[in-house]
Amino acid sequence: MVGGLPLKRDHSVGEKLLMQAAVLTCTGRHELIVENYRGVRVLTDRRIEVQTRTCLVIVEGEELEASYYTREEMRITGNICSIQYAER
Amino acid sequence: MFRKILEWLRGRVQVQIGGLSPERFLNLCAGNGLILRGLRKSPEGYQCWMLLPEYREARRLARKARATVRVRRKAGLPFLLFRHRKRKAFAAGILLALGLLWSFSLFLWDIRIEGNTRYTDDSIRSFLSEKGIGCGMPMDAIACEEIEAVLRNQYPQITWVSAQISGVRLTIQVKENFGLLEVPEEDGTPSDLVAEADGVITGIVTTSGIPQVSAGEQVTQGQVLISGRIPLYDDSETLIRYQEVSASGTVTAQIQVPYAWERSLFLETNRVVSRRLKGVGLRLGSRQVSAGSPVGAGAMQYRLTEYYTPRLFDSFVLPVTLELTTEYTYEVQVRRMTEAEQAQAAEQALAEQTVLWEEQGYRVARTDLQRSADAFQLTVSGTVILEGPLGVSQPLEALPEERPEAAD
Repeated sequence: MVGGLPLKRDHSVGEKLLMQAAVLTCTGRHELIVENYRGVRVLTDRRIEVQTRTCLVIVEGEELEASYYTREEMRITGNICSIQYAER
Repeated sequence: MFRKILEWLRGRVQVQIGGLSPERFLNLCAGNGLILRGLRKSPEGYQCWMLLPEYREARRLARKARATVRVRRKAGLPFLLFRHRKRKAFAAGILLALGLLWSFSLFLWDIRIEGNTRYTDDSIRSFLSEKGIGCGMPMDAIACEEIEAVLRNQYPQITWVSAQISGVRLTIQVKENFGLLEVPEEDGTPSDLVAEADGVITGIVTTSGIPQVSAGEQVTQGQVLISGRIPLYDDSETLIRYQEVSASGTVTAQIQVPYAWERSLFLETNRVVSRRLKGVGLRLGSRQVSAGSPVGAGAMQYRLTEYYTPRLFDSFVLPVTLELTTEYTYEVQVRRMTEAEQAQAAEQALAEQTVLWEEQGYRVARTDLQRSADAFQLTVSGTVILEGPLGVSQPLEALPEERPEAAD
């Protein structure tokens, strides 16, 4: 608090990248774009585990596939049922 | 879309990834800048698509990760060329066709003229040909501004010209002038406006002179509608003299005109009984080669020549025209018109006459017509009430001697 007012925080994407956090962009339940990760640990049609610098992102669903997988980002398509975060 | 075209040009392969640690191989590929598309789990491991140049790098990474990479499918231009590497004539034909299309696009092959009614397409094309503008000339030798100026100078009735190049076609749009080119000189001779036919006045607007009739009044042929002789009075209302002017104004009236039309009750129709191909021709630019019977069509026959010009797009016309001449043999069938056809013919004739009246400024107010038919003729007669302008100028009549002389 500064001067009795709550300090307003603005976590922009750049700030998150500086904090080495993964950036997930989800469109509906059929597309998920993941940025700023280290690699893929598991990739099946029902479960995809993406290792980020801070945690493990677990995507579960049906008919999952990575429509593209590059160094900067990957796009997961299919019927996404859940997105979980776990300790790496 | 653009990305897919680029990938097809570079070639891509679908690979099956297996071995001890395929996940490490995937991460190594991503870490080295390779792009994997359609990555999914398969019974033998993983499968994905990658570009052909990247596959060569992937094999090195597979050895490092102790993974196996096997090509399952190949797609793209490099594989297509390799598959047809022995078909050199086919490739040469494609290149030749592309080269011909490109060379054809450097020349003008079609001239389209739009908006012309007074001057025919052939006359304008002949004139342009005299000026060196025609099919087969190089596109970069065409100057649209010069074409527009030349046409405006040559044809005085053309008031606006636009020349545009689209593909291999030159489109010339013209607008012709149908109005008066010279302002008619007004005749200042003093005159009256008199009725040229019997009728009933429906409206009168006087611009010069003194009106002698009013709306609703019955007039006869020769009756003065607007007088061009204006009496001038002094303060004591004594007639001093007459001022003579050219009477003018707009007088509309309903006039009764007789109408009579007749035609034969029998219709002649030509029924084609056979057709034969009589001639084939090929035109390339201005040169023509044809084969067929030069003898003209005989009795009960006519010939029709059709032209086919291939085009890739609407404005990319190829400089080849196929001409097919077909000879049709027909027989004449005569039959009597039905009641419906008689009524339709009578209506059509009246409609055509109505158009002529409307061009003269008249409107059909009422018709009183009877249609009759005897053994051979269909007749329509009666009267038509037209509403339109009435009045023609007539020089003033000389005044009697005891009256004051008219002023100039």
